Amino acid sequence: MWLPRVVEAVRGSDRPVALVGGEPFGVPFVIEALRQHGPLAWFEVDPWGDQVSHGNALARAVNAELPAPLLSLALPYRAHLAALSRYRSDLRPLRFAVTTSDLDQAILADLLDLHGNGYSVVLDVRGDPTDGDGLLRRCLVLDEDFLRVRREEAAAIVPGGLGPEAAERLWRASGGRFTELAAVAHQAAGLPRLHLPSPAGPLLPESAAELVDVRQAVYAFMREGDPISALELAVLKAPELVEDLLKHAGPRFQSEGLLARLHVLLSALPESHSHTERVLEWRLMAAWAANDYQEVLADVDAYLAAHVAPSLRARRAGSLPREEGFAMAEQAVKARRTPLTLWQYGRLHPNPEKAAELLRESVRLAEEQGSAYEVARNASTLATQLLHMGEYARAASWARWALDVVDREQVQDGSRRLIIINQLAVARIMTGDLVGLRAVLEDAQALVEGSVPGLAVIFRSTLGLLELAEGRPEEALGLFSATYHASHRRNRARYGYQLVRALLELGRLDEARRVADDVWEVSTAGEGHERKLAALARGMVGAVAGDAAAPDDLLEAMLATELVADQRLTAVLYYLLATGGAAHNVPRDLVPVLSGLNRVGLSVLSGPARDFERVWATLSVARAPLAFRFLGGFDCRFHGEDVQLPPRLAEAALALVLHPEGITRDELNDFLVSDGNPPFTSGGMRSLVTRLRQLLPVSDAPYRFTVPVEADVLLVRELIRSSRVREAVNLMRGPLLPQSDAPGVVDLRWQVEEELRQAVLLAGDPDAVYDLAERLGDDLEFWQAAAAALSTGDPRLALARARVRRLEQSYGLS
Amino acid sequence: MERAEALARLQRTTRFQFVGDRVVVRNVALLNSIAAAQRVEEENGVAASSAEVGVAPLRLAAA
Repeated sequence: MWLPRVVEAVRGSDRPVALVGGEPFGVPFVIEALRQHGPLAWFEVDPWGDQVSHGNALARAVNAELPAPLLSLALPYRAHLAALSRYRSDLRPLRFAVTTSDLDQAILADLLDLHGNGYSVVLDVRGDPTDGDGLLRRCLVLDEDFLRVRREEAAAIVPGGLGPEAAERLWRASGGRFTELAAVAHQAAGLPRLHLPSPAGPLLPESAAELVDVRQAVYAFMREGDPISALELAVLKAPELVEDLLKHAGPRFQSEGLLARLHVLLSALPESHSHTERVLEWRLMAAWAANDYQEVLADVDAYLAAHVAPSLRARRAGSLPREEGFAMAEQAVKARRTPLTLWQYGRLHPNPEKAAELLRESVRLAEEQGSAYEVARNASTLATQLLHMGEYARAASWARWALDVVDREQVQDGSRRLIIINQLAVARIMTGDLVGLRAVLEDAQALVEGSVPGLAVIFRSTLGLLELAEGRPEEALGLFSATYHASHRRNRARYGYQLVRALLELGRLDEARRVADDVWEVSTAGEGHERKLAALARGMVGAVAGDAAAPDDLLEAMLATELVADQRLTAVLYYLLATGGAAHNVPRDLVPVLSGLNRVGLSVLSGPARDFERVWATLSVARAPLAFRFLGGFDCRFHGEDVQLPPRLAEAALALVLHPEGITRDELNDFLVSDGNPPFTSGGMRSLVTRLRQLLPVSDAPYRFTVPVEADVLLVRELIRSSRVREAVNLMRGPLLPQSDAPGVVDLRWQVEEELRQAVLLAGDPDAVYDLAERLGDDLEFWQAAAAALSTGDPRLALARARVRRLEQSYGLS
Repeated sequence: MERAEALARLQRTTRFQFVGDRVVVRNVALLNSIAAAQRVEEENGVAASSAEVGVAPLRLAAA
């Protein structure tokens, strides 16, 4: 039998397979038949395609095979390959099939790299392409000779009613080409016309193709939800339709990241159809995205000289320097208040408070009369504005809401989604809400690193902030350093001050000074804000080193309203360090922001703690003199100084922390020594307590600390009791004293973990559930809870469902 | 971008094929959509003549 023979050859290969024979030799039928043997993501590589259009095709094909969408559109295919590689254990088995007539497309070689370990690749090679990169040498090639229908296989293809003689005759006439044989056999048997499978749905054989009036085809594409094809066809043969089509096609090109292609299409329009208002608007946007806009600017300006054109005017405003752009945006919004004009006006408004107010209004207007894309765009810009103002909690709220809109309404623009994720992450770090952030940021960074350089820089920077927030300065240094050393001269100051921050945290003052000096030198010819950031970097080093000039540098930076809030706040904190607390010089707009920062925000913006404890103490609630960390490791600070305790004393300290009223010798013995082991002798217990008392203030028996104490384990339990599960998960950095097997520790470890587990399951907070599910590994109940808690459109939903499926299979439950 | 350059690039990369002023279509869903639209138009009495806007079998020899 022809089909099983070919399908088995594909399935039996441990190498990628190239089917070279195309439609005539029945390759589409082979690929379609592979679906019966597991999930199959089949897509076609566009002949004009760029990395993003290839990414869109790949994303659509993969998402169609998953229980929920995982990959967003508008991202280069390499971002998706990174995600597929990262989530392989949950997504496999998965077969990729690619139809192409151009073996030079880079996506093919990259996709072949993915082959193996649960993924397999099939190339459907059409025509007679050159194989410059030797792609086919990496594949098992099944060529026309192999794909040809053998005489004995023909009878199974030809309907039985025609008889063996007819089968023989048709087989000879077809030359063994499956599609031709099947088509004529269908026709001879009076069966419905043969349809060929394809990634875009069933096709007629080439010989049965139909000629269609172009306008009819354009409208049909629109009805079928494909305005992108409709517009291309209209540009080629019905340009008079373009103005109207752009209403739907323009936003689609934009949200799918295809503005470069739109630029080609609209540049090809005859002049008679390229100077209308909507066409000019999209020509401007597409040309701007393609960085080829000089010509269109002249056309736009000529049009605006004679027309009000609010939308076009608002778009043009965005391409001008800020002051000029603001004046034009104001004209646009006065002419007509729309989600677009109001958004642009708010975005460019010089007064931060007013800008936020306008942007909030633009969100409301977008909800009333705009698209989901406009709602998300406007809300995301509002979040950015609030971040710049240091209104982190409000920024988090708007970013979270914008993300919900993107996911719920399935706004396809993956780049915008990532930008919102980053905004939300920064806002959450600054407010100390770190639950689940690491996974989100690491996933995003893996996606964009090496594929979307602009976003990779942003995510590296935000991940660096998270590392600082979680007390991992070495990791922060690695991230900041990578960005700094790869940066353009004009961005040196921007990234240099972050690098200085990490170096200071690690006590590497000389290196920090060298970076600050370099930044100062290369930024001297730069614009104002570069100079001010360079002053910030130099001032930070000076503040820690005690340089007399440091306050001046820092004053310059903190007064610079063109810098964003976190940069100015850093300047303020180092200024307070350098001046011994000259709080009267702190700019008035930063005072409420500064006093609203919690410990996490403060430790991200300034450090190291040994230098800043006094500054922080003046800004936040006083801390207990004795502070312990027992979760995920052990730290002890007494009056701000690190105290080193050996493991046994750390266990004893935990016992005392749990008994503020005091613990007897017997109770302490029971806490430390398991049944069956010899108990402490009276002298041994006294010695243990004496050693602890030499380091920390401990009373006589019953033993207790004689100063107020704070400990993370106590706080976690308090948070659980008051149903503040996000904060509890956030604080639960790891097991209680992970190395300890003292019975009291082991019991409490289990108890705290179970309390948290139950609280998180009960609360159903998606971030908290997903975070804990990842930490717990293969806990089916948690992955089921995550799948139930996550909203449609959130890519984590696809992964949670895939993990549930895998775990149910491995536990024999499905 | 110059119009001539854009047009050349578009013609080089488009997947559409034309015979005269008509476009070659093989996609079954698209053809069904066109046929359905024509039926509606005919039922409403607003159909243009099939010679103007209809679907015709492809005769490659005519290309």
